[in-house]
Amino acid sequence: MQPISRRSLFAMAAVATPLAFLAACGDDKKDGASGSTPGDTTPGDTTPGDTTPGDTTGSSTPDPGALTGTVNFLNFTGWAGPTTYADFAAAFPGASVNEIAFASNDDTISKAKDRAGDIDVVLVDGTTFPRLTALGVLAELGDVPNMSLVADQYKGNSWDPTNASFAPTDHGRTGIIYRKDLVTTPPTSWAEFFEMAPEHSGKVAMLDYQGSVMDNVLVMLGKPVGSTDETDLAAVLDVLTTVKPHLLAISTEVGKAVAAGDAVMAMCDAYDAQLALTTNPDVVFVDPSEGQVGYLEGLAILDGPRNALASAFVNFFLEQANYAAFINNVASPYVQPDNPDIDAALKASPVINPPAEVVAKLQYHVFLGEDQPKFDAVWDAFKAA
Amino acid sequence: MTNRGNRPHDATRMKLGPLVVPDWLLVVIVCLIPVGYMVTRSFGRANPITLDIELTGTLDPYRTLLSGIYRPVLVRSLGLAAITVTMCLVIGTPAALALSRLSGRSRTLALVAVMLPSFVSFTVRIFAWQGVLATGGPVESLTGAQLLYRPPAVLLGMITAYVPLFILPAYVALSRVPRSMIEASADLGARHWRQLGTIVLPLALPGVVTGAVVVGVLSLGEFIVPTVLGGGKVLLLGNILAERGAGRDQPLGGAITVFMLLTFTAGGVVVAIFRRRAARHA
Repeated sequence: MQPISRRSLFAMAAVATPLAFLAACGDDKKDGASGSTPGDTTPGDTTPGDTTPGDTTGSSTPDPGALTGTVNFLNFTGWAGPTTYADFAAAFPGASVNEIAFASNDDTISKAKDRAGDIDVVLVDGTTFPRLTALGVLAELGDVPNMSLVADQYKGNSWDPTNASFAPTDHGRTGIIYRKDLVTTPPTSWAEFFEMAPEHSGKVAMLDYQGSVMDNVLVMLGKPVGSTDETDLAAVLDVLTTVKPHLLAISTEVGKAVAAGDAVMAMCDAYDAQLALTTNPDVVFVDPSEGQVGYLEGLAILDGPRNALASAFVNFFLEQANYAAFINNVASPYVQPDNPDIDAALKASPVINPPAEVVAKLQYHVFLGEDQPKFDAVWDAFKAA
Repeated sequence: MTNRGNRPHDATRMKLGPLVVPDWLLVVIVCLIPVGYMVTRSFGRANPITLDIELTGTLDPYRTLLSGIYRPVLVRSLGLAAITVTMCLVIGTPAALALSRLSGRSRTLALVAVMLPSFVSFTVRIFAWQGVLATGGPVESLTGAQLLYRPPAVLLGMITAYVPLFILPAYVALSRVPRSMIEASADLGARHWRQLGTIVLPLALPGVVTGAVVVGVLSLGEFIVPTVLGGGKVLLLGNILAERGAGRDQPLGGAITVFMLLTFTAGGVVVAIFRRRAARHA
């Protein structure tokens, strides 16, 4: 998952604190789907007296009237349909959604530990999910019939091979964007991107996402994604420190910089590129020939007193119309290719709906575990240089 | 031998003593406990997966902070903070002096003008500078200089953000310099510069130094300005504290906290020395 890209760090920080406080002050007595004991990862199991029909194993449609309470949802701010939360509240009278702003993967871990923040549902990727697993805070998804709408290629991931706890929602990949009116020889590969940087010195932007940058440099060098081999990391640092003097900025808003003409080319995520080329038709997105590294995001439930309600929310989020509203709103590559409600323009965009040969070369960021500090040190050395 | 019990202010102190207790409690809760928490963590090891901290008494976080990776950041942070303080002294002292010489409505208006930027959120002001310094923005259009995402932009952002914070304590100190002393020195033949150098500035020094310390403390921990105006290329201690120290490397964050505390303490010692000298002078 990418830290802070889609929204400004400062806006999120401003929003997160009061929302987290409000969430912590929430009235648990309203949360009707209580009853799971700690360590119980089956949302369907309840304690005596819990009358939540949604807990009935195998039920494909929970009784809306019986699921009440507030789902605390740790999410990128606005990373949903324009009316997803209101629609959920309308579909489940007595239920509501409280969105808590995502700040970073580490922040997610901090909040998930011991259910600090009282979070029920989190948006996670394949690097954060194993950490949540290690913490033992995840619940199973439970009854989510709309998982069937997710294409098989996004299921059975290494971090959740049985699809028990991870409901894929969107994915992304890092590529190159450039201004065709300002760059005479378009880059087609990572190698060309870095070779061309001196030619466009001061007009090249780099993503401020450690994993995206370092993993794609590893791909360019022909090394394994997430390698923490000393020689590989030294080579990555060499590439990055060589290009740094030519960078305009290391930023999360590179698409905006290229669209405005402040930069002529940049490493850029697909969703940001789509926004940039919508803003300026001279912006072009390239899937580098060496391949790319990307991410797959999805919803997971933190084990707690509202598992059934959380399960209903995940199912609601994946429902055809709701899911299409989400994708149409955020313009992200999607995991329901057969969803007829997704905008035709998005389906026609190779940035959002990449061709099969691009998908075939796509790799996901990997969980580094105890080796993470080695990766961190290289990134800090690059930024400190 | 002095009979301390007969001193009138002692009785007052005894009466007011309990009123200070909430202040001290506030200091302990708001300041000492969080700082102590971070300092304790500086002697630990973080689990990068779960973020749990194992307190082992290790000095590794300090070694990391002083290692080749972060040394340029330390030097850059201290350098930028020093330049910011110096520039605030150079710009802010004359401004504070001018303010202190005004009276009535003109003083009020000038004070409001100085404080007006502070009524707008710090973050908003820094983003506003981004627009001013951007390609095609007013600065580039007028001067041709491309400053955004370069160290001068960071410096500019820090100086403009902190000058008002310097001016206020300096102004208060300068406005308290007794007119009678200045007039007496004039009667004795001292001209303006001599009055300034021998009477006004020495007496106002504690306020000026306090302003400088406030600016220095804030500059050293700054992370918004380098992020927004430095384009992520000008890494400062505050950025590491925000990105690593508040995340998966709290021990490193603790070590940075200790480093900053030591720097601030050194600043405090300087202030104390200046105060003592000024008191002797008075």
